[in-house]
Amino acid sequence: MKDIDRRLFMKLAGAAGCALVLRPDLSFAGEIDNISIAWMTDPVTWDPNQRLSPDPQSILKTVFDQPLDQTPDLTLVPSVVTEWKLADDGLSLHVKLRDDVKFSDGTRLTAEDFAYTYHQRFVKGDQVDLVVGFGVVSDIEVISPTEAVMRFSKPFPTAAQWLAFSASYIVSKAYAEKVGIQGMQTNPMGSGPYMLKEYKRDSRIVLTRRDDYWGEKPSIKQLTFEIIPDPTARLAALESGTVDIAMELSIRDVKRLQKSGNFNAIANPIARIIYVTIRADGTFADRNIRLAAAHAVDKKLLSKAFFGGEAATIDFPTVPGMPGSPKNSSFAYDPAKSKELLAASGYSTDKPVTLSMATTNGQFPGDYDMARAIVTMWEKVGIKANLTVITEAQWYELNASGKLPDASLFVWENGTGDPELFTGHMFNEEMPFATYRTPEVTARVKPLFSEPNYEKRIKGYEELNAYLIDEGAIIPLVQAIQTIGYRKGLTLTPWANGWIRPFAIKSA
Amino acid sequence: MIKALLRIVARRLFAIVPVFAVVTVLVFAALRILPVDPAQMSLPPSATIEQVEAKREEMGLNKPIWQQYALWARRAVAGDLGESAQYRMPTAKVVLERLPATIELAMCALVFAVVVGVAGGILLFTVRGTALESLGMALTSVVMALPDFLLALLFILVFGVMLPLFPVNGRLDPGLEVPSHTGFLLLDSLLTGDVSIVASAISHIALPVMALGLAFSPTIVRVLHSSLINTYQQSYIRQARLRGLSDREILFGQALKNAILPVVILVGTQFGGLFGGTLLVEMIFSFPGLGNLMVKAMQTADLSVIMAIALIYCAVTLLFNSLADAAAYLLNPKLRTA
Repeated sequence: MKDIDRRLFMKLAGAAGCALVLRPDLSFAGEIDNISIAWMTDPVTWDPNQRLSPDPQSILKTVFDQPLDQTPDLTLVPSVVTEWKLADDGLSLHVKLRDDVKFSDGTRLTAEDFAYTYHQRFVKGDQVDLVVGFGVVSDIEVISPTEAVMRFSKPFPTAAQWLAFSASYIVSKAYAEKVGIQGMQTNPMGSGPYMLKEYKRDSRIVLTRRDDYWGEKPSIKQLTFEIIPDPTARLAALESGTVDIAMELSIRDVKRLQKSGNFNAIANPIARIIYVTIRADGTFADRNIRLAAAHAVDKKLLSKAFFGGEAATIDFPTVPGMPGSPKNSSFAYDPAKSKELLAASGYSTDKPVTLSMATTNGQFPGDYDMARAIVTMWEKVGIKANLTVITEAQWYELNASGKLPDASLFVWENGTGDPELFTGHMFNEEMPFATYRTPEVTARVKPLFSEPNYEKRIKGYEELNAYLIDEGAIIPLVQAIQTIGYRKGLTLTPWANGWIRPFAIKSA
Repeated sequence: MIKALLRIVARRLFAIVPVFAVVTVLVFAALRILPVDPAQMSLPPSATIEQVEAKREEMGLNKPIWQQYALWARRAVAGDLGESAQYRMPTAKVVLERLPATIELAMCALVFAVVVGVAGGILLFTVRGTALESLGMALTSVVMALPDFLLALLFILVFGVMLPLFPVNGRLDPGLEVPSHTGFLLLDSLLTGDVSIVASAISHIALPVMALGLAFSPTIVRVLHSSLINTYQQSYIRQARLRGLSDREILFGQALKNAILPVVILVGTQFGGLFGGTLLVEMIFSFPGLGNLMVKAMQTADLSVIMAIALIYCAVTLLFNSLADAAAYLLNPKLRTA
């Protein structure tokens, strides 16, 4: 027995030794010394409330805590805030905070920090994108260090969802007042599971795990983000062993990695949609033309051509499974019907209707080519679109000045898990994102922004989505996918909002 | 002679000023024509019309364009290049933080291009009339046809993945820290005296330098090659031969001194192109310099940053043109007597 034990021990010791020689960054008990991730962009600012853009959120989330968290399918779960209750009139939100959360400087996170983040920063005049969601906060009453009440100038039924969304991270009031906004931009100090160890702008971010973190401890001791904007270079970094995980690879490379046997690769459907947004005036004032344009687009072909068939096609401005999507309803690809509709308005392939279309080029993979494919599909039924290339920033500017082309290919992200940030924001004429503005749509969408009853609100969005598609007010195309390549020996759970969570990365 | 040289340099530098001023006007006007509102860009997406209007007023955007330019020029002369819409911090700080990395990359690439180009030119000349010369010329044609970003991708594939000899991103290995004295990483690495840090810095910059430099060196090879052929037809070369000088003495002691002149002019006038090449090469190699910043600024329509970087690229081009003129003056006695 003793012999067998000794042999077994020697084998295990040998195996462990070999493992350490082969992968010196692997520790015992599932702990990983370092994981390097090839990431697309630098966070630009370390002030976590400053930017809504999706790419930096995974990085910011490692250093800062959000009041509420989400499961991989975007269901809200407690985090620093353990309990929350929206008032029946939607005009206030009562929150209770944990009492054991500490910032990395050792100070305790309290309701004062919560009030500073979600109200006092706006009053002070800090230019933060957090105000986009929480601009309606009129006051935050701090009842105790672990209890507060947010009050709103108008009903804010999605307040809890916004607490777990982009830019919503609790900052330390004392630290913010000490270092100012410039200090926060360069030297982050949060209550999240990691602390910044090394930061080389546009190049590398090294984070070390906080062993005194209140929440689930990630198995990765050190997390390194290598900022590599070019997808080919990200793939090269993965294949050369420079990084363990590479984000946003081309679908072709994902399929190649899957076949290679040396790497894992996944195409993760995320809460982001690609669609054609249209104006209600000009050429598209004619409902026949709107519907003809929508029926003429072969979405399955687009998915096959640009996402290797991995992207789900969508008929409504939302992703499959998210509340607010009409049930048992669809919109058909039917070029013959497009021709009929155009004929009813006096157009044909010989006498096409002319319109303008805008697209970005490089905002998301394949955007320009996808727009060109749509133009070709339209041409076959009798719609002649003149395509122009703009940047995302120009899109907002053109829309604000009423100069946006009749149609534009666009991408929209909604990590809240609520339809308000999809249909609500896309069609509320008060938002800078709305392009299809009619009194009918406004009458349907605005009440939903102040409807405190969740079921009624979701039902309202289902009806609104069905109405919009019936009117041809938008042409939803596909649900976007996030691609991730990673080395064998790791397991990774993707999130539907596209965020990468360190505690969801483990050694297999 | 030194006095005359200094006079030439001063005159050339002085001549840059009006050219640079005209370029600032053109770039400023071009950026104002874009359908992008700098006021809107510098505020959160939810900013109200009143807030945008107030910002427009503060930025002077409601004034006529010539007044806007005058305001920008006055502030720029005082070192204020505006605020980056993307970073929400002073543009000058954002740009100056990255400038040393790009200068370092461009200068290393220039040295690499000149060394490879001059060596290649001499080599091709020494094998003139043989099949090797034709082969060399064909090779330079192939390399000239490849843009620097394609070379960058090829190098990543060959030297980063297939033969993993060089790192493909960043400027240093993780965990290495270099105190900044000069702002130039290679120099600062040398100052540490730590061989591993120097090796890391060199290995990181190697591929971007090769990609940028190799795209430029074939032109140098060809110019020097043909310049040497022309020079060898001159009578003083024949006289040198009659004096009994060896081939080596004629090439390095007599011919090269004159044949190099077109190369110097070429380097000076074409350096702007090499510097501009950093735009894509930096992005591909994740090199945190101006090129990388410019690509991001263009994607986000960060106008003040685009303006600042465009002017830096312009200033560098003009400066190198002037330096090339001065160098030509120094090397060519005919210019000195003219």
